[in-house]
Amino acid sequence: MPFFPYLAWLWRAPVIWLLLQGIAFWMYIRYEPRAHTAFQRAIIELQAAFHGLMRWVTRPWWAIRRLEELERQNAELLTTLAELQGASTYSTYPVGACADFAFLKDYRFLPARVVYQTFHTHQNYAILNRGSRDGVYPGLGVVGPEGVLGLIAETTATYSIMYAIFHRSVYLNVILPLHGVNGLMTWRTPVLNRVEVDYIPPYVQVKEGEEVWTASNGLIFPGGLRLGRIEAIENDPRQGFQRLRIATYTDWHRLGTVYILLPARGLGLGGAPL
Amino acid sequence: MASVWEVLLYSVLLLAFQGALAPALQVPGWAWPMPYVLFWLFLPFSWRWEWEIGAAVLFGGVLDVLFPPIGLQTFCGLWVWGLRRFWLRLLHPSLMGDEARAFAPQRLSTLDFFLYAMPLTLWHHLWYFPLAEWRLHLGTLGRALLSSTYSFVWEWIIFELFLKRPHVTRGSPR
Repeated sequence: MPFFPYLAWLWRAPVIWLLLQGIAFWMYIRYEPRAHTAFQRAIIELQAAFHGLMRWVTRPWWAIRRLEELERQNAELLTTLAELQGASTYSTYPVGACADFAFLKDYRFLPARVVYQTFHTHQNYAILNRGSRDGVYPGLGVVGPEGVLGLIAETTATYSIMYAIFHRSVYLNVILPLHGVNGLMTWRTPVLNRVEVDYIPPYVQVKEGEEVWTASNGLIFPGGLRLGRIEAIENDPRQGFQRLRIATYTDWHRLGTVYILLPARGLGLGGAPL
Repeated sequence: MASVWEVLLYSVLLLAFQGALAPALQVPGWAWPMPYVLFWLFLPFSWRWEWEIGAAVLFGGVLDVLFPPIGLQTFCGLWVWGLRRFWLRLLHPSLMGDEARAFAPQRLSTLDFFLYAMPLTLWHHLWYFPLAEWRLHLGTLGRALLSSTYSFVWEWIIFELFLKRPHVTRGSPR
């Protein structure tokens, strides 16, 4: 009888038989070169298959971790570059979003990361990882690497809420640079990555594919930031103006690093930079 | 009850047969007689299972040493030993308890012996040949089938000539 009662079940014929079978087979595998080689190969194949499977299973986690790491590195690098602006060497800014570079001397771009964003509401917003400690306050504009994105609505010490241009309460003063005509950007039709521009006079001969920028007399954005391209023109004679459907450069589904526009020398009356 | 000496004698004779006669009796490339499977089939059912399995492993070990590769004979022989009670219970479901312990293969009829020994011999060979050749080939399976038939013929001859005891029917004295 075994010393430990809970080992009693081990002392049964099938278990001992199985154990001895295993030992005999193992001895054969050790003795016979072909079997030994095949066994080693099988073990290696099994290991490789197991590791391959585990890599496949854990791939999303590794990708997320890698993405977070890269985003953190990117944000740190961008912050470092942004801080170099004070040293009058060079500054970082989203070149793709800027059509007119005249305003650059009055603004600096604070890189931020999107912590959370909504997708399927009439009031889409995003939470950014920059707050009042970073000098962010409500009313500042936010751009992405390719175009206008939204504006800061609320801030905490470390976070801020950005209302997207895909928010029905956001209106922007925009301009058709080829014609010098202003319009009002709205988001009435709740389709992401599409906005409307109203109040374009009917005599202006706009064409599909023309760019739309932010107007220089706006209160939130400086002039010369890209918004999108004209996708469709609605010319309703009952209305006194044309309505343009704009495909935005910003893809709300693929937000990377965003940039908060900070006036370089504080704010003047009406939000215009001094 | 079969004595240890009787089992020892069987084993020595079966080993001698395998060493001395089997090479001469083989059909080269087709069939190899291995009647030593009888040893595992005829281990006394009346023994304690610890003694049985010890004898089965010991005999397999001696076979491994005499007829390498090491481990293969023990492995295949333990299959036969491990399955023989299960197989016997399938053939004779009414054998229970003391009756099963008193069962002696020596008292089987020829038909019962065929039903008892042939499938287990085939099972032994179906493990032995693919492992010994280390490939699963149609020729290997053919050799296993032919060899198991040939082995059984020799097992039957040995059984009829040396091992068989008067057949016992239910209710008659053993």
